[in-house]
Amino acid sequence: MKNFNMQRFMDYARYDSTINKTYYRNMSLMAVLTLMGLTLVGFIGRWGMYKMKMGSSMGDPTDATITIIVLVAAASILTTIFAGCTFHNLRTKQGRIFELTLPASTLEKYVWHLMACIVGGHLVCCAGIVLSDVLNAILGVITYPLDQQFSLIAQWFHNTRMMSELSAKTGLDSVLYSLGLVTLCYTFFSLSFYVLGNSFKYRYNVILTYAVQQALSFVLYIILIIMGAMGWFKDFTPGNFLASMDYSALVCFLLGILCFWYAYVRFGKAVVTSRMNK
Amino acid sequence: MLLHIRNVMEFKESKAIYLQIADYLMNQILHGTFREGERIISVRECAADLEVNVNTCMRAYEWLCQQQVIFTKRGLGYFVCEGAQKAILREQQEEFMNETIPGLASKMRALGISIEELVARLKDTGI
Amino acid sequence: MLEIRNITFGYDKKVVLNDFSMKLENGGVYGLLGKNGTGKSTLLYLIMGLLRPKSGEVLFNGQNTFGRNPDVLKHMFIVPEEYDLPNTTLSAYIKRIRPFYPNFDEQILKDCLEVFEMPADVNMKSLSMGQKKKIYISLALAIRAELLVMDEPTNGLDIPAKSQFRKAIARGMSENQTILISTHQVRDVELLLDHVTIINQHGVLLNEPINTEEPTDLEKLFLDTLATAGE
Repeated sequence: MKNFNMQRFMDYARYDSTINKTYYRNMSLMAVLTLMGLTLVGFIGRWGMYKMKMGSSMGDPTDATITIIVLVAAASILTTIFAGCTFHNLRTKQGRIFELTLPASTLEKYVWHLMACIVGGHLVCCAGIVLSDVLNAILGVITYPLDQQFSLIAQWFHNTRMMSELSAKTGLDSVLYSLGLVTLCYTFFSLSFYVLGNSFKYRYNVILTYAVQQALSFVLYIILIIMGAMGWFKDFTPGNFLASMDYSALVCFLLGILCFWYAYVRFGKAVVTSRMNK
Repeated sequence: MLLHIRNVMEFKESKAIYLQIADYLMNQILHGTFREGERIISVRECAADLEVNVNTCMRAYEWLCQQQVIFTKRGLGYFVCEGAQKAILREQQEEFMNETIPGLASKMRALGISIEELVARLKDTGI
Repeated sequence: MLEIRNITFGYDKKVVLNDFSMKLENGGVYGLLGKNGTGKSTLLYLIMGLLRPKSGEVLFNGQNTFGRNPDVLKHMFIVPEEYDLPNTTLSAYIKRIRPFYPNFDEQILKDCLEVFEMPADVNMKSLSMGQKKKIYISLALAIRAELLVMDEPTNGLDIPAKSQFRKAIARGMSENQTILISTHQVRDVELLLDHVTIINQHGVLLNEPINTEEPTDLEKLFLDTLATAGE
């Protein structure tokens, strides 16, 4: 592709990493500390409940399920925020001048920013969860007997395996797969939506994107309710339901592609001063 | 050879800049800073010292070449011509006689200063 | 080399440049003079492809600068009026930025830093505004871009530093390089210029090479031109 030069892409990656060293470090630190902080709070909560004789023994892994679910939810919020920081170089006027006049193609810059913020964001959250697990283990070792130790991550996989075995037994595994697919595609779309939001506004965009997302979801719910009231879903069988989930997944995926593409177009047309970005 | 100029030359508004640059270089030659046959500072160094446009400086050098004060050896720079000192001295003497003196005379007339007063003052300076 | 063709630009209702045209040929120092707020920075941003004209186009060697083609951008460089330098050392920054500019010359950087009496390497976050300017101007000259655009380069420099600036331009400028300096402080740059363009908010008032045969008082020309236009 004439627009994408691997050497220049690598040069740009090195350049961006160097000048934004502090920014990336602070964001990563914030994410990891948030996750570890939540783990700490969870541990103290469980310990408090145990002390007040409200919970079972300290070493009961099912108590930790809440913690790991909270961590995964927090990670998904963090990765969404990171997606909304894709164009962080454009936050200031000076930053815009440097970024937009640097002789690399828009595509090279865009691909790098997506890698740094989305892929990088996910890796940082994974690292954060691993460190949280370590923290949890350390706290556990201090607090209760060695033979009752457990891992948060192992607990997650255990729960997941149990759920898929259960669904296979009850014949609901196709539902589980469709649900998984929708979740994956919706996540893809959600990330792209926040990247798109960032391409409109370079500061305070995460909050605004969230507001728009909520507003659109609300509109969608109203539409579905109206459709329901008008009898569209009268003849719905479980088969239809599964099919509509799969179609939703497809729609989410396509919308995601659209958002990523449009964000790229907007990035190419970014200007140093505009009404929305002084 | 870089000249260290503590105070940047004050450019007058009465004369074209390139001619003032040429005057500056000629004075350097006259006072022996650059001797005959020696290399003078490059155009770029001169422009940097005097804080002027390089092209304007170039113009000054070209003019000095025309006046046969300096000559260029390709790739090596600019050198002071033989006899340049004498030629500059002669030129400046002419300028003094043809421009400074008449100017002094009209000033004297305007202010009513007599020749005797002038000579007396000049004698005081030790000439 | 650079052609600004009938560009019109404004923010909302306010028109900043109206059917503005200008040409820059290869080599020389161009002065863009005008009072503050008359669109000088805007014009520089339009040249660099940082803003999109409402109509008309800016062509660098025939290519539209808003297209941001890297092969065009690597021949252009801007020194903005204000900037924050990243939290790294100068040498680290040079290492990362020079792959983008093929004509980078280390010696010019050294020469200019010497003129500015700045150390060869320094942590850029700890610098004062004036020091940042000196570093960045040295870097800009070392990059040896075909077109170097400077927005109020002497703003924030004290008198000795202004003198160093002039020396640095004379020492660091490349042959066939075009430098466009926008300023309202005429005295700081008048002896550096080959060509002068004077603008006010309505457009170009004067656009001509400087006549080296005659003595020119640029400051006087600047004020007279503005006065004639009714400032």
